[in-house]
Amino acid sequence: MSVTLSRAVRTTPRRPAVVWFSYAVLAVVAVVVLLADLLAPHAPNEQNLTAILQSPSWQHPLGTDDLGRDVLSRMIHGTRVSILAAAWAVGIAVVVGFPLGVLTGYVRGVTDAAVMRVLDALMAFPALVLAIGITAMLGPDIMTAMTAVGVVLTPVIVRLARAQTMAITQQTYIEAARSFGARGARRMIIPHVVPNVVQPIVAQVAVLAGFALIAEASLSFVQLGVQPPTASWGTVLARSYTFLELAPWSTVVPGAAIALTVFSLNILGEEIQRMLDPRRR
Amino acid sequence: MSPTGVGAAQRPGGRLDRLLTTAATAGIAIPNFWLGMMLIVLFAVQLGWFPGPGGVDLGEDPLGALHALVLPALALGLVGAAEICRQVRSAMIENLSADYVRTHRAMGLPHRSIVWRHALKNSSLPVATITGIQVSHLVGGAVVVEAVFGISGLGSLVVEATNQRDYVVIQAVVLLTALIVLATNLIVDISYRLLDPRIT
Repeated sequence: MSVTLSRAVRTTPRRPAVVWFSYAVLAVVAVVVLLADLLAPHAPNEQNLTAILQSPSWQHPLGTDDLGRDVLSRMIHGTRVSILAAAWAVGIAVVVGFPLGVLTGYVRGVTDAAVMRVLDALMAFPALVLAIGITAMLGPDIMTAMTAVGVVLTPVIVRLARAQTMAITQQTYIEAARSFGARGARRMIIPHVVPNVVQPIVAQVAVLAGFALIAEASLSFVQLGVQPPTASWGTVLARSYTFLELAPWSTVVPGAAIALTVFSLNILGEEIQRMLDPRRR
Repeated sequence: MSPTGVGAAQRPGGRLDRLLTTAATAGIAIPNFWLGMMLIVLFAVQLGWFPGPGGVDLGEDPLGALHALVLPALALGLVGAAEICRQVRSAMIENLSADYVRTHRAMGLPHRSIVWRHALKNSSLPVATITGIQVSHLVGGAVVVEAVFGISGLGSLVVEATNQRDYVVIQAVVLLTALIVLATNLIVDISYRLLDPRIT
């Protein structure tokens, strides 16, 4: 099916400007994640109590917080923490959800029914509330918080992979492969089923990463995620909120960073989906 | 938010459509608690139209409490509104190209009546579905928005309980929110029948 993908890319009509904009945003975020130490003008936790709550200046482009820490440097280092946290959560959802979805969709029957009922129950809980509940049980810490978010996101991947697998196994080529004696994971599922299930999952992963980013910021905001003094988008936002009236500018940037990145991830997800949709080619 | 979705569906791919879908995608991406902060900065701190953080007791001052709820409600509602706009758009696009719309048009029904009375009604099913899903997001988002606006609701209760390791309260809140979500989904399922008599 990789043929379909490359052909779709070539014949896709001109992309709108917003798509290029999103790619640019994601590229900037990627560079910041990789080169945080080189780009940040100050150390993220370096305090300067003689220069607290300063307005933006050449020395501190985004001003300083209530401990005199450079907000820009904290944002740059926080990007790495936030992105890695989101990647961890989505990674868990994919690693657990994808095999489970393919398996239940392929095997069906009792296994499928049992797994789906458990996931239905899991989905009845509001994602963020359940994540808070799990974090509360295990202690506030970014790893447990994002693991909880990953658990909450897992049913989404399972459902998608399962539905896709079910649709794929109805296809004639699967029947043909079966008639040649292809069975089991090594001969059937991995070479014939998995490649066709991967693509819609990739689109969904981009969207889920956006959700995980917001979840990180939300959980860190109520002090259940990244723990101070470690900088992340959520903790920078939480800290600057406590002096909102004195320095409103320092709340704008972290929030805008989250919004822009999530927006770009959603656009990326839509683009991937559009490229894979045979009707829109 | 339905009108914006209807507007966007008039000419799929047109300038208005592209503008509105981009705006809706942006709306979904904005973290609701940050939107709350920005609303506070603009409308409470700068303009002073609405009270800032710190809830007003509903029993003491019902009107004042409603007034104080405007900003948090806006912060919480925008994401759902953007999502519903997108749903209405795609459902309307599908419905407006359906056979019955062409029949209506041939019968000489005015465009406005076709769009708002017939196509919009038939587009309400996916909107009901998405509204049910939104409730789950709203309950989760409320936890953080409450923290921003200093409202003492379920959200601040569960955060406080977490900090004090009060497991029973946490369990109660998690279960209660799950019940709220289940009840809403039940209502949504029942409403399908009312929206589309063909469903039995």
